[in-house]
Amino acid sequence: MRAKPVLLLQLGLGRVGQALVTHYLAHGSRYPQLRYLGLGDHSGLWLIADGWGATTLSEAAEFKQSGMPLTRWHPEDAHGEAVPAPDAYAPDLLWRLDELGVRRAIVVDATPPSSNIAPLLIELHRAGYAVVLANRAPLTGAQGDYDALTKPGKGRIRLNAALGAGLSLADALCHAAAAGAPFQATVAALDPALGWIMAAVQHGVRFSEAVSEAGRRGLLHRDWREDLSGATSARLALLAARLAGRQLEPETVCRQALLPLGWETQPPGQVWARLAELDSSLAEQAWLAGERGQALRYLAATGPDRVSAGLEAVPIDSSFGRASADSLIALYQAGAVQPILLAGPSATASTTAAAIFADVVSLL
Amino acid sequence: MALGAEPETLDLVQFGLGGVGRALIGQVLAAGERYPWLRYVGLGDRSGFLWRPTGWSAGELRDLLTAKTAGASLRQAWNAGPQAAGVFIHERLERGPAIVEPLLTVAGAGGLAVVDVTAERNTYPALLAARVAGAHLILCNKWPLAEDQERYDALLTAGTGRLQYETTVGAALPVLSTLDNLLLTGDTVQEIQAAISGTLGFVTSQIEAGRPFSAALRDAQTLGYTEPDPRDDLGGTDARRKALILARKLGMRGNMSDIMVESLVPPGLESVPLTEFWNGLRDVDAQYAARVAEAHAAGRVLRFLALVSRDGAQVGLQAVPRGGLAGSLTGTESLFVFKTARYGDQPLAVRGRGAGADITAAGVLADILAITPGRTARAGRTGR
Repeated sequence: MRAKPVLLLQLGLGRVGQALVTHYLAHGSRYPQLRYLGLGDHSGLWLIADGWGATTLSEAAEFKQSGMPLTRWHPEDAHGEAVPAPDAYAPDLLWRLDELGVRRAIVVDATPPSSNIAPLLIELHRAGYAVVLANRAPLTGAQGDYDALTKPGKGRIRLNAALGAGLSLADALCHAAAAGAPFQATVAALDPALGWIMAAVQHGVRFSEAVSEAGRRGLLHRDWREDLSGATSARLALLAARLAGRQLEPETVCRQALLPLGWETQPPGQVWARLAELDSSLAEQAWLAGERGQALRYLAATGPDRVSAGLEAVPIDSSFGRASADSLIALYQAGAVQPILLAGPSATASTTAAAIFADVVSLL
Repeated sequence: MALGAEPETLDLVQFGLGGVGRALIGQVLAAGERYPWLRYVGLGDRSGFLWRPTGWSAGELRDLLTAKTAGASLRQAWNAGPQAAGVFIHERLERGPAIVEPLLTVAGAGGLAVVDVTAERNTYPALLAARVAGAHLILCNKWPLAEDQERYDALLTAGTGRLQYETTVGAALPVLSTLDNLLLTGDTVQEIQAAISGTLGFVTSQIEAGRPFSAALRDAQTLGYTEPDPRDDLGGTDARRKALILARKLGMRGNMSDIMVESLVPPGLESVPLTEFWNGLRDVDAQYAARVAEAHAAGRVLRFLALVSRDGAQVGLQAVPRGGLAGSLTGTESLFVFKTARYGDQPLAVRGRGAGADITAAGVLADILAITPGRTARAGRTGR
């Protein structure tokens, strides 16, 4: 008996989105019931109700790679409908899907944090659509939005790709919480840029040079102030705390920025030009830590009383002291002497796409 | 399981009322309001099997737990309590299908989950019968997965229910789920390096610190890390079963005997009386001290590790770099390093002390809840 088709609606076709299409084309044949229904980028959404063939999907991805907006593409051998933005990302999309006879599908959010897609995801989830998130933004806004997205509704939600990619950290936190034994505390080094920068500073590289090199290596966000302000790590800490069962608003996370007060709001070029002003201070902090057998690392931490992101001095021969751009998470169970450690390479477009795919197939 | 196809009630039949089994019942009771669809309908221990198709109340389960914790067998607890609390089947686990058939005829098999938290070798026939009838199966017991290949295949492919066994390797550590995610998404796992014996991890840590081998083993026994006869640990049987489970996940076809294990039981002491074993053990202290010194001279340390691939598995002492993942292990820590095509030189690693009745039971409960992912999510938690 052939399995009933499960439709996939992918929102977002940036680096991660393109990697997901590539991953599906390489491995999707293992899951023949899984079919693409739609593919979207910032310009809008293409819906092909009777499913995308591999050729059509490849053509769309290639078109997008050429730098063109997706809604300018037209499939040659398939009947579809282009829904331009902003309608494609408004709750009205549900009506469009309903008209096509679609009432169940897996929706993947691989859009950038700025996409403001949370209201649509909440509506889809309420209507019974399963949601797989790589985009962390809808999960790290107001607690009410998080609750609306994760708790009520008929659809399921999967979010390993939003937190630690291949490490399945979200599953580990959720399973422990569901079994009534939530982790009491977590410590994580998950921002590869800050990991690499602080390891370089520890080895004597000037901070400003380390930031430049992290940029050359592709480790920084497009808006690198996201990294240096600690905002990325703070959001990771917030999400980890929420998955462990905590209720808290983003502003309650204690965040230590590597940039001085006021710099975050200055034009990027101006801040970049002043980074060298921070060299001596960070070099001194790193040297002092080294004298004590410690290393400075930028860590996201959750505990019973505090959720924070900031610089911490850790033993130089500890797992965190040895870590650089790789991902590392310590999970502390109540009463356990030592934490559970999950370690792996930093999240890339390819590993994040694989994590999304794992979340998708877990819903089949 | 397709989206939305979840049973209204998940009836639980649990084999085993030892530390993990009792902790599991306690956790299900504690989470009763959150997961009202979980209902115990059968319990078994070495004395026999008790079942009640309509399920037990929380109070009745607590009474049974209290009696078991006080040292009573299930049969004694049943004899002492109201007979209306269930039907006692004077069958032992090794009687196989006879102990599950009554339940399978009453409960809808798709809504029945059999949970094996024993350490018994004889549960396989009952588990297979339950699988064939469509029941879900949750294993904490490694033995059913260490059966010969044909019987293993039969267990895996039988029926339509789910088979969950996360806690059989690494107990509470997310080892098999990590491996599943890699395999399900098309990655090629080239090798798993694993420290899978907490007891032998402790012993090697001790001899690394200069303790004689015999004294380190005594320490392990004093701390309760070993079996009453420590040769059960030194022989690597438990490590062999875990390595086999991992290797089969990677596609190996073979049996326990195909897993190469370096036994740490000195030749000649395999079957002598225990006192003689302890006396003879001192004779090998110098050999182990020499192996440690040789490793140190090369900048390495000794660890008891398994190397697992789809071609097979080897378990034994290895000299590994001191600063590496395995080299930095301490005490009874477990470690699983997944070297894969996708992750290349930077493997995924899971490390920690996953054992202990409470956290192992929590892992089993997570496996149970994975059978009803939608309901679990709607009960207030995100996830499978």
